Amino acid sequence: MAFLEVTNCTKNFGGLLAVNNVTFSVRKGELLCLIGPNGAGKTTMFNMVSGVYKPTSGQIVYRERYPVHAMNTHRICHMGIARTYQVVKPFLNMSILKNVLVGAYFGKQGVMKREATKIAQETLEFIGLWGRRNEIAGNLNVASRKHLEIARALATQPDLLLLDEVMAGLNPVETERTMDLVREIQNRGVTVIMIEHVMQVVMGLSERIIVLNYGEIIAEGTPEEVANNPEVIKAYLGE
Amino acid sequence: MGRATKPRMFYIGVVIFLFLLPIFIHNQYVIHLGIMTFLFITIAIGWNILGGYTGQISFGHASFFGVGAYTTAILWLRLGMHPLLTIPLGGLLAAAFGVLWGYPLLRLRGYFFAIATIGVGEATRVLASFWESLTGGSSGLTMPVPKVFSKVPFYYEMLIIAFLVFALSVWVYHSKFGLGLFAIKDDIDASETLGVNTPLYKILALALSGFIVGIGGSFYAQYIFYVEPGDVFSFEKSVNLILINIVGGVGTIFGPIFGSLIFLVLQEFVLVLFPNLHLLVYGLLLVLIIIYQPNGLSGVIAYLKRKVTRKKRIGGS
Repeated sequence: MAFLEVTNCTKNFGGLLAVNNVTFSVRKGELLCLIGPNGAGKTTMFNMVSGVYKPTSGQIVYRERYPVHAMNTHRICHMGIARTYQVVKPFLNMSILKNVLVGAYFGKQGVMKREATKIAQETLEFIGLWGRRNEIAGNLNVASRKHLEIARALATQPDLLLLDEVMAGLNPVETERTMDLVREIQNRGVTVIMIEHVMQVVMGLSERIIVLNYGEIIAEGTPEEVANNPEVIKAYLGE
Repeated sequence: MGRATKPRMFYIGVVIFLFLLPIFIHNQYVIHLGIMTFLFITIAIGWNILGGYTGQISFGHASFFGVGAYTTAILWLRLGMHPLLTIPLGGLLAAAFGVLWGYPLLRLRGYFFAIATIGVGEATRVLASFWESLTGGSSGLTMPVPKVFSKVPFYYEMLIIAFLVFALSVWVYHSKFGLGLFAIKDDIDASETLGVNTPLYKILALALSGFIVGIGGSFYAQYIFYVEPGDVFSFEKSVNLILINIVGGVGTIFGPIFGSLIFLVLQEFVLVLFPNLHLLVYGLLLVLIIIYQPNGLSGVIAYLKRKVTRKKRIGGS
């Protein structure tokens, strides 16, 4: 049973085919990595799954019931799909706690103050930002902003989490720590799809990899299979 | 006395003082100034809900003021309704009017929305000037002035309205609704991704904002006994609401109060002494605030407070 089913999805920006007829499915509980050269259509794919863009054609079905391709972004969030942005978008004038409270309050419908506060505290303790909860988000460095971005998405209590290059710009120590976080998130039963360029992360974390190039899937499989695929080597290194 | 109870005592003191003021002061001019201050505080808070909390800058809020004022004038004159009863209706009609134009226009972002609201404000004014059968055209509507009347009942009426509206704005500031509005102000895309129904929240903010300003307009009509499109729908009124909030602190709880006080002091005193100079003083103040303290007077006061507490801590240790 497919958790998320993407069928013949195409996104066309006025003649530019960003994603071309892509079909794949995601199993419940797995950790899937989307890789590919710059401009391959990875983030566009995320934007379609999270409702930021509507596909030009094709279908995205969540839990075999919900037509994600025809839903508003906030509805998709309520259904349990959360995402982070590659260029992080913290609420710069709010404290860390309030940033996470937005996710806790609005991620699922009908969450009231006591419950939202509890979710926010648990999430921040898990991410390791609870001690700094009263700092203004605008004063944080890149690593903390990325962690805040993950915390906010987690506070919406997702079943499917889309992580868009959360390791980019982190130093090796921070990367290790963030990898541990992602593993722990998966262990808690959250299905994770991540876009990643850092090969150490891709090889270390993912169970399955999908490689995109020029908007099309050129390879799919375990990390070993993908690493030895001649098409993939060609796409990354040229002929 | 605990640290938290001190400011609370201060606020209660201020409210009691304002309630007792007309008993000790019989000067009608002072009472009038009080009424106008409360009125400006009320409508500035109304603007702040949309412009300050939600970040949707409107140059068309005089349209709400005018709709509220005309609702009262027309219901009073044509249907003989008691003016006090028309206040909630003025607010509701203004809110409905806001939903009407907000539904298409709130899709616009940032400056585009701001520019579109100029059009709304002006179009409403022109409509009111030419729809003579309903509004009496540009010569306006005059309401029956009683032979003997005191400003004191109006003072209490407006004080209570201002107090309730202020309490409402404080509640919104700390509520889930308010958190959603501030999230929209900071980053609308991130808000939407985190589950905030941004189109609904923006329109609710606009409706609430319009409701409050409409109430102010409704009160204004029954206090002045005269409405005229060039006055209640004036572009200057819309701009004044923005200026008040910038001077006081956009998106802060006390901003509209500080801003209204400064605005009226400048208008009443500097205007009398040096006609037109108040605009210069106001312009200068505006430039200084935008450069040095984007949170307006609220920001200045928060800064001073921090300095004082720091000094105390250093002195104490």
